[in-house]
Amino acid sequence: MSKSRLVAGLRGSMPFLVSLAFLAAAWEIAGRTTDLITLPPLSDVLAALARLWAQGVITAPLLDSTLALATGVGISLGVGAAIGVAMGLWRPIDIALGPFVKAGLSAPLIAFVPVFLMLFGIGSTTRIATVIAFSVFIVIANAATAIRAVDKSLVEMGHSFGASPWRAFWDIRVPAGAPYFMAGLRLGVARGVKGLINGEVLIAIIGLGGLVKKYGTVFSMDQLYAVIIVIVAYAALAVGAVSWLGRRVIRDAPDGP
Amino acid sequence: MTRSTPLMAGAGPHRRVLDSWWGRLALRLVALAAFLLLWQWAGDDSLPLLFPTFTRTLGAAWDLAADGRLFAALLATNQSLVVGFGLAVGVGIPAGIFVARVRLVDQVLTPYLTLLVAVPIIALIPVIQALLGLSFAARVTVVLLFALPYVVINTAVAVRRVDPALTEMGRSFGASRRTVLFDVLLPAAVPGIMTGVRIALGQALIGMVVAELTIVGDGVGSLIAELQGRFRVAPVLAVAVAVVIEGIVLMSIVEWIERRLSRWSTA
Amino acid sequence: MTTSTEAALPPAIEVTDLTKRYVGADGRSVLALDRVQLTVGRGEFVSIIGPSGCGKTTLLKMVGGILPWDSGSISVLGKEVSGPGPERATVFQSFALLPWMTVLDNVAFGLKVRGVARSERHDVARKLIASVGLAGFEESYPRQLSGGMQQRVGLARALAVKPHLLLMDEPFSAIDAQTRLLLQTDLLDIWSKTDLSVLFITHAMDEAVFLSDRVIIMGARPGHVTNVIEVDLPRPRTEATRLDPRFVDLTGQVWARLRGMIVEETAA
Repeated sequence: MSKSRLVAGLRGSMPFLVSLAFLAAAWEIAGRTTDLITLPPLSDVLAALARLWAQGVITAPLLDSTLALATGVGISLGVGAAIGVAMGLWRPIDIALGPFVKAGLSAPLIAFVPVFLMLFGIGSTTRIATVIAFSVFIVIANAATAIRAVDKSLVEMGHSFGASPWRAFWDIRVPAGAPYFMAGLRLGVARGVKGLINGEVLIAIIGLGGLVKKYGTVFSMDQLYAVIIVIVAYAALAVGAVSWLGRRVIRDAPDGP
Repeated sequence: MTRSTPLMAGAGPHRRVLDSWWGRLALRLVALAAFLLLWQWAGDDSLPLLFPTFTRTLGAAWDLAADGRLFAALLATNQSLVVGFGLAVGVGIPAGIFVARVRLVDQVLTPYLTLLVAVPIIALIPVIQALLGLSFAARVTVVLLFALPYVVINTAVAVRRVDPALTEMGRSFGASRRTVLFDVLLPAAVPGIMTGVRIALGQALIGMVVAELTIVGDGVGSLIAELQGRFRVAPVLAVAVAVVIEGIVLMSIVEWIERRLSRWSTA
Repeated sequence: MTTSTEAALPPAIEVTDLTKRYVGADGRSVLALDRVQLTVGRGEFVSIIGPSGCGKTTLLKMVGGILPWDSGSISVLGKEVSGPGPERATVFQSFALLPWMTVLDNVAFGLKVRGVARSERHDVARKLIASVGLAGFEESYPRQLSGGMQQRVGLARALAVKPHLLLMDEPFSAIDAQTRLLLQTDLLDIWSKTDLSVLFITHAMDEAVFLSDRVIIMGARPGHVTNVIEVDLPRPRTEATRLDPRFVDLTGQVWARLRGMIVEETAA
C-alpha cells in the first residue's frame, strides 16, 4: 500500500522533475555559451557551494543564524503562548488585544528593521527582534484559537466530574488545542526564518543573510547562488523539522503525564 | 456563545457590555491608551539615538508630514506596490485557474510556487538587482515575487474546492465548459480567491518595504537612509509607523471587499 | 416490460446491458454496473432503490449524460444518449443551488444556459416558483431558505426548461422527515398535471412505493437489477394512501428483498 503510494507520488512529481532537469540543463548551457555575469553555469555554482562548505565559510554563519532563530522563536513562543492563552480564556483580553494581533499579523512590520538597527546596532539583537516581529503574532493567534478550539461539552464533562479549573486546563484544553499550538509553532518558524534572513540581509554583515549581501555586492554570482541554495534548503529544513517534531509530540500527547 | 467556565468567571458580569459594539470599542480604546502610555513611559528623549517617546515620535511625524516629505516618499514607494500587486492579481488569478484545471500545469508549477512561499525572497534581491539594476522595474519585480505565489495557490485551491455538484448541475443543463467556468466555477471560487488576494497584499506590502530598503529608490527607502545617517530615531520610527498604518488601512479595505463579495458564502 | 400508454412512441428511457468499470484506489478494475436493463415508459414514474454502492446514482448520471459508460446503451425518447440534452433535467441530492444567485436567477439558470432572454426566462421562472409554492421568495437567497424550500427551488429550476424526463437523485434525502412527506405529495401533484416521465433515486422504501408506478431494486457489487415491483396503488395518491394496507404490504415486499441483500452483505 505505502509502496504503491510512493510510486504514485513519484509519478505525480515526474513533470516537476523533468522541468527541473530541463531548467538545470538550460541554465548550464546558457551559462557556458553566453557571457552574462548574472548567469554562471550551474556546475560553477555547485562547485562554489562545495568549496564554501569545505572552507567552513557557510557552517559558521549557519550555526550562528540557527542560534538567533532559536532564540527569537523561543521568545515568540513563550510570550505568544502566554498572551494567546490569556486571550483564549478571557474574553475582555481577547476583545482588547484582538485588533492589535490582527494588525500585527498582516502589517508590514519589516518597516521597523531600520529602527531596530538604530536602537540595537548591527548585531544579533536586531535580527532576533526581526524574528520576533515576524513570528510572535502568528503564535498568539494560534494559541488563542487552540484554547477556544476545545469542544465545550468536554469542558462541561470535566466540570461534572469535579475537575478543578487547573486540571480542566491541562487535561482538556491543552490536549484538545495541541494541533493548533503546533500549527502556530510551525508557522512561527516559517515566518521566523523569513524574519531572520530579512534581518540579516538588512544588517548586511552577519549570518547567512550577510553572505547574500557580501557576495551580491561584489557580483560574485556563483557564490551568491550557492548561498541562496543553502538558504532555500535551510528554510525548507527548518519548517520540515518542526512539522516532524510536531507530529511526534501530538502523537505522543495522549500517552503523556 | 461561549459558556462561562470557572477560569473565565471574570468575564461573566461584563458579558452584556462586551456584546455591544460600543463596549468593545471602549475596551479597545483603553487598550490603545494603555499601549501609548507604556510607549511614552518606555521612551527616553534625552538623546536622539535612544528609543523615543510616543509624543516625540508624533512630533517627528508632524514635522515630516508638514514639509510634505513623508507623503512624497510614500507616494513614490507605493508606485511599485500598485504595479507589482496589480500584476500579481492580474496574472495570478488566470494562472491559478490553469493550475486548478490542467493537471500538467499543476504538477509543473506548484512545486516552484511552494518554494517561492517558503523562501525568503530577500535572498534573491542581489540577483534581481544584477539583472535590472536599481530601477523601478527591479522594485516591481520584488513586490511581484512576494505576492504572486499566494494569489496563484489560493486561486487554484478555491477553484478546486468548488462543490462538484455545482459543476455537474451546470453540465446537466447543457452548459459549455466556458459557461461552467464563468457562471459556476469562478463565482463560487470568489471568496477563496479574495482570501488569496488579501494574503498577497500583506506580502506585497512586505515586498514593497524590502524593495525600498534594499533597492533604494526616491521613496521611503532614501528618506529612511537619510534620517538614519543623521542618527535620529524618532523620524525613522515615525516613517515606519506611517508605513505600517498604511498597510493596516489597505488590508482593512481589501478585507472589507472580501467580506462583501463573500457574503453569500457565510450563512 | 414497456408500459405503453402511447405504444407507438419509443419509451422515455431504454437502458440495455449497461456496464461500467472503474479503476479502484488499489489500481484494480472494479465492476460498478453489470448489464443493467431498465425501461421507463412515457409519463411513467419509476424509482430505483438499493443499498449504497449499488450504482444507482451512477446510473442516473449516465442517463443524464454527464458520466460515460463502457458498454451497452442508453436511449432517451428513442435517441441514443451522448451527453446532456434539453429533454432531460436533473434534481440534485445536495440541491446544487448557486448560493450567490437569488431564487429567481437560480430557477432561470437552465434557461440562461440555453440563451433565453432575461425577461422571458424571468417570466417562466416566476410562474414555476409560484407553482412549487414559493411565491414571494423570488428575491431571497438560497441560504435564507430551509432545506425543503431549497429543494423546491431545485425542482422549479428543473421544470423551467420544460423537460420530458425528470431525473431525481435522492432529492429528499437531506430533508427532515415531516417536510419530506409534504414534498412527496406536492411532487405527485405537479407531476400529475404534466406528461413528465420521472426516474427517481431513493433509499427510502415508503417514498419509493408512495411515488412510483414501479420500484426497481438494485443489488451491489456489482450493481445490477434484482427485482421489479409493480405498484398497483390507485392514483391520485394522498395522505390516505399511506394508511392503505396495500401500501404497507408493498413497502414490506421492498424491505423483504432489500433486507436479504443487506444481511448477506454484512455476513460477507
